[in-house]
Amino acid sequence: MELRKTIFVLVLLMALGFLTAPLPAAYGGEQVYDQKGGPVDTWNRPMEKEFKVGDVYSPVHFMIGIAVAILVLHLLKFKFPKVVPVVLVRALTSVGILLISWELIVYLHWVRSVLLPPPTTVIAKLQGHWAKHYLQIHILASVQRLFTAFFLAILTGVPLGFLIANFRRFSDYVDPLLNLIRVIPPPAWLPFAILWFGIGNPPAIYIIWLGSFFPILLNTIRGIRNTQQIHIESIVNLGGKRMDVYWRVMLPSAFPTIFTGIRIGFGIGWVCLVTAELVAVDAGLGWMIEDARNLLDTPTVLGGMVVICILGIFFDTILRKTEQSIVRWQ
Amino acid sequence: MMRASVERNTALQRADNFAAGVSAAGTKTIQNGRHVIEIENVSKSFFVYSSNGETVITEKKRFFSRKKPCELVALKDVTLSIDHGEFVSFLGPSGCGKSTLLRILAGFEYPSSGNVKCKGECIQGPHPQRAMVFQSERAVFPWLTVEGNISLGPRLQGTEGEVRKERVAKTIELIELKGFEKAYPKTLSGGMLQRVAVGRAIVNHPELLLMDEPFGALDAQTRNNLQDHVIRIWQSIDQSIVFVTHDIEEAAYLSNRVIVFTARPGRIREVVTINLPHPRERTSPEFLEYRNHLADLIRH
Ligand SMILES: Nc1ncnc2c1ncn2[C@@H]1O[C@H](COP(=O)(O)OP(=O)(O)OP(=O)(O)O)[C@@H](O)[C@H]1O
Ligand SMILES: [Mg+2]
Repeated sequence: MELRKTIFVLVLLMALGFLTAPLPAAYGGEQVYDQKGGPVDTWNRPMEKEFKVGDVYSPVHFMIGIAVAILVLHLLKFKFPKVVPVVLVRALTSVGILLISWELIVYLHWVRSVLLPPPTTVIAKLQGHWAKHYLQIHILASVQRLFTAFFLAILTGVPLGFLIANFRRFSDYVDPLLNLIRVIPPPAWLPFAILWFGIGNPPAIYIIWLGSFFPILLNTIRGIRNTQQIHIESIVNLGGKRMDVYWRVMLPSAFPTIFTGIRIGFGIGWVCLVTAELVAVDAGLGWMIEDARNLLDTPTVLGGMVVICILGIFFDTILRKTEQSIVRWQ
Repeated sequence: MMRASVERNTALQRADNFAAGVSAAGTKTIQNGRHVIEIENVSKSFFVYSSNGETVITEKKRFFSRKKPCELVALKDVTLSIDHGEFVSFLGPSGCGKSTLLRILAGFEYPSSGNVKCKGECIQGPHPQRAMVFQSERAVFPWLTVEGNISLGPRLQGTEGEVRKERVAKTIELIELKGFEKAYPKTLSGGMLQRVAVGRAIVNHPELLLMDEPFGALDAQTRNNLQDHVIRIWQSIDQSIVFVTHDIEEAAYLSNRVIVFTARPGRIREVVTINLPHPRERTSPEFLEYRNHLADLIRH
């Protein structure tokens, strides 16, 4: 337990180090000079420079120093204050171990940094892109695209699923068509999407829509077909008409399943987004990654991946919280 | 005078009685000869698949199986009428068709032969005036609060605003769930859920309340409490109740008449009229006599 706390505090300080260390000049920060008037890379990344004791600005050194200090404190049985939930401690512990060992692997020259850019480099790159409003532009482009397609998928998937679940004849006609299309992976549509819609947003939106549409559709069908007979009978018995059965029973009882579909659909849409952006458009996180790859700018590639990861978690959390606040009865 | 008040027995009047609540107890009159429900020669059979014509295997037939379609007779030649204001119990062994008959009365199923009439008209389908309390408490809508569940009936009937609010509040009071208005069903106990189910059914002041083993899955104490509840509700609202049970004591404790069914195919074995005033004493010799009589009927 104490060890975990120690590691947690380490990670916290590491994050603090990342955030407070001055931005290198190469990434838009203020240039720092040494005593002789020569320029200093404030991040002091190993692929550019050998380790020197005097490089006080290196967040790595800073963190290692703090880590040693804390380990000493720990050995002296110092009690760390209990300020954070244990789940967070554990999560940050595992993430922290990953980040630290990753940083060390490159720092110790076990792996070439171009093949695995260390966290400090990635963060610096991202800081730089952020300062130049480069990152924001791409995030905005991606998010706009994603949400357009995602809402389109909800607006088409839920009503269609509803019709398929409720009208036997309709589903007999439509089901085979949908099943044919469903098994084609959405990115395979890219060439045709570009032929049909040209370069730009439309083909990307089409691909993303295709990816998130089917989970939403299938879950809507499943949820509505799973409506309990006894609930339908209950509402009819209370004087409900056909529309009441649809709106007051089927929809709420299917809602959790539909929402699961929406979350899965969002995840798949997110995957399709990056795929589509690698080809069809000229802005967006996927495009940023592809562009950086062409320039062998691996920190930006990794930074793009990190941003995608963080945004994905962020939106999924929002969706989950929305679900929880609507489905309070479960 | 009491006669006259019952004569103009509209839904409005019932609502008034209901609003008066428990104080109206004692005005209960059973009008012999004024039938709410008439069941004439009703039989009901289901089609099932069976390998030897006797043991029922499945409802569906697989392609290569040798099972033959056969008829499962659930009810046979049931004739019965229920008077206005009466409390009737269906008593019989499991699988004898009690639920089936009740579902026919509710309008969820139709008899294979024979007629079922409600106030002289053939039953065409479900109607809010014949409210059902289902065998399982899963019938309560889990996505609505207690209040939401109970107010759904009036809402669907187009009762709006203050009237609805008042009615719902009265019902919640009657089922003694005050303070749980905003609770979701998952947070309630089984007995409370059953009370919600009962409340949902009575809030519309139905003429006929159909209850299918509503307390089957509850412990003895809760069950006794809820039985008293039902009696109180029955006395305060001018309505008839059909109550399905396989518990002999429950039938004897609650009803004016107990219809005893035979095992499948369900026929009426005997109709036992219980001439005891409410509230009944479970240990009185008369009660025990009725109970033993019913037990004999069930056993043989
Ligand atoms: N939809 C159906 N399809 C086929 N058979 C059915 C159907 N509904 C009921 N049955 C059959 O009809 C018979 C009577 O069923 P019912 O549910 O009315 O019994 P019950 O008297 O209510 O029993 P319990 O006390 O156990 O609830 C049973 O044998 C059952 O298998
Ligand atoms: Mg039953």
